[in-house]
Amino acid sequence: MFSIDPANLMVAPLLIFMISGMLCLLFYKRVDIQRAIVISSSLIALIAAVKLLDLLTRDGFVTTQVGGWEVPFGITLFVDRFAGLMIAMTALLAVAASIFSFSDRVLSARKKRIGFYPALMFMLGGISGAFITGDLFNLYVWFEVMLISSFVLITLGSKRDQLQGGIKYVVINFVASSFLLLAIAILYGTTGNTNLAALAASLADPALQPITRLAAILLLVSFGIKAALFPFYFWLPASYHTPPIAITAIVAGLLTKVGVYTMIRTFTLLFPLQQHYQLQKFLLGASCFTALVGVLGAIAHRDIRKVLAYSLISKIGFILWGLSVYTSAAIAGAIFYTLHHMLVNTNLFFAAGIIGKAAGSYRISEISGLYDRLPLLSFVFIMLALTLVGIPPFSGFWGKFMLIDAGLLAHEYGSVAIILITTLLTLYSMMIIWSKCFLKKQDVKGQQLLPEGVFIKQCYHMYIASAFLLIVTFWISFNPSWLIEYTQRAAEQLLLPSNYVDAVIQR
Amino acid sequence: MPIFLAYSLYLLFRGHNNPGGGFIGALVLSIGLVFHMIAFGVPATRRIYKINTMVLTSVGLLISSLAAVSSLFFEGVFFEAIWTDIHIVGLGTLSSVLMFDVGVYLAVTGSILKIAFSIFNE
Repeated sequence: MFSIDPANLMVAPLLIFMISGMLCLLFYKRVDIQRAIVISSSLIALIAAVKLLDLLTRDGFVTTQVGGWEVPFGITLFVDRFAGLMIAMTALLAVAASIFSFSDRVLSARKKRIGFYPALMFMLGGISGAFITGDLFNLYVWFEVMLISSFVLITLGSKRDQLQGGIKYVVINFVASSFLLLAIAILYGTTGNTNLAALAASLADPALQPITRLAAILLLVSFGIKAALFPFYFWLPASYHTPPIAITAIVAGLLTKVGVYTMIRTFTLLFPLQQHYQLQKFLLGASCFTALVGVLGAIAHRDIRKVLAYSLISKIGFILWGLSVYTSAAIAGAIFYTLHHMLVNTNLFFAAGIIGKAAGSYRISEISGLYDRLPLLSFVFIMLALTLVGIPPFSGFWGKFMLIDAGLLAHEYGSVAIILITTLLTLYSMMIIWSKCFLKKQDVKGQQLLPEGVFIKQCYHMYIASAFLLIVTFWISFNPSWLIEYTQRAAEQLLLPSNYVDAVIQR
Repeated sequence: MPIFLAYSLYLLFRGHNNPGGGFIGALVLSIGLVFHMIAFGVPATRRIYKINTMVLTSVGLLISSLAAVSSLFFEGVFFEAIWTDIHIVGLGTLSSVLMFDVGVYLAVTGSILKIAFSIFNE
């Protein structure tokens, strides 16, 4: 290895994903080579991200100017603790997803031959790009990279319902992107900058408030669509259950979280919510509705993938509620919850994939008797369900505890009640799956399940991927203090946007 | 076809300080190839120019990203331009900027031909 300037470590995950995507294109016809490239590069990216995280423990942030150009002209790259955590989690999920999709049983060889791996890598590259960029227009570019490759992933194989879901997905996301562009145009027109730090510095000027408030609302709508916030969430359940489950898992785990990330970034740095009272109130209301509507949808649906998609929406509500409370503790809770939820949600989709593989269906009514035949899967699923709900020793509890504690301190009693009700309903929706699919005795006329030993031999990599994420979840669950501390420091950083501005501009 | 090739290379190499560059050069080159394709059909074009669009695209992308990464090895800032002292008449000064442009040139040619071939095959 060459000697690494710490500032360059931040581009490592991005570069690794992009370059491995290109290598996959080079070996377009050789799926076995692509698979090796993808697994090894995700591992390298994970190592780089962990090193970066370690670096951030000491320094707090790293920043660099692309091409050595000065601040308002060149593109800034900026990683603080929050971004570092998100990058590390992305790399972790990349490893898990590449293991999960290892065998042709999960994702047919045909789908891999038409570009699954390159699209996956470019999507991950786009995501890491969105996390490290310090420039609003550059963020838009990364969003497009992400959007186009995720569109490829969702419609891979061109089944009828996939295309249907894919069209909805891409249209609504293009609308979101055009709102983002409008906002960028307004901000650029008023301040002459797209650099986040320079924008934050000039937006502090109250004379600009009326026009920039419009930009703030446009950004809220745009990121709200991407994050599946309450009035704009409908595209998610319409498209997420259509692609193969390996793709759904990674897309669901990551894409909405990028929306959440940019939202937290924008509304702490550019438009700090304490100066935008109405926005804060709107976000508070919208996130409560998101939490409630999401969980009600999860209860109403009878397809495991749809249940998970709706519960994903409800958790987005939790996270953005943490942002809208806007105290240091609440944002720390939101970050913690984001990380926990990326892990658990992806893993739940993995578990759903295993269920679907074993039972040949995702309809709750058509599955039964899993507990008798597949005890290991049952263990994984119940652990995940309890973690998602937030039963004490697990990571969901710590995140929720941080959020609710912060909410009570901020005297948001009404919305805390809503969050607690949502938790209860989440438990209910998970227990529907548990009791119907797992505990109910197997129907005589239903299809026969394989004994687990045989099944594991066929699909061992699915179990490995799931176990890998479960171990990480356990590790966070039983050893949460360092992560809580890390997120608290990340939140303090986020609430001091002047540090960000100084770090970028004073270079 | 030779005219298109020559003109596109000319555009590619004057690209740094004058109008031109990898993208527009690649477009000009693909015009030539697409004309050839329309006149003689896709199999003929593929056979004569021995084009593998996927390889062309990915090699182009790799060259471009190598240009971006290479500065990490020398000076330390991502994407910083490196200028060598080698001057070649007609090409100008060799630099990582030129390398980036060459990469773009190959990638754009590859992807446009891929699109054109698939449309023509329908």
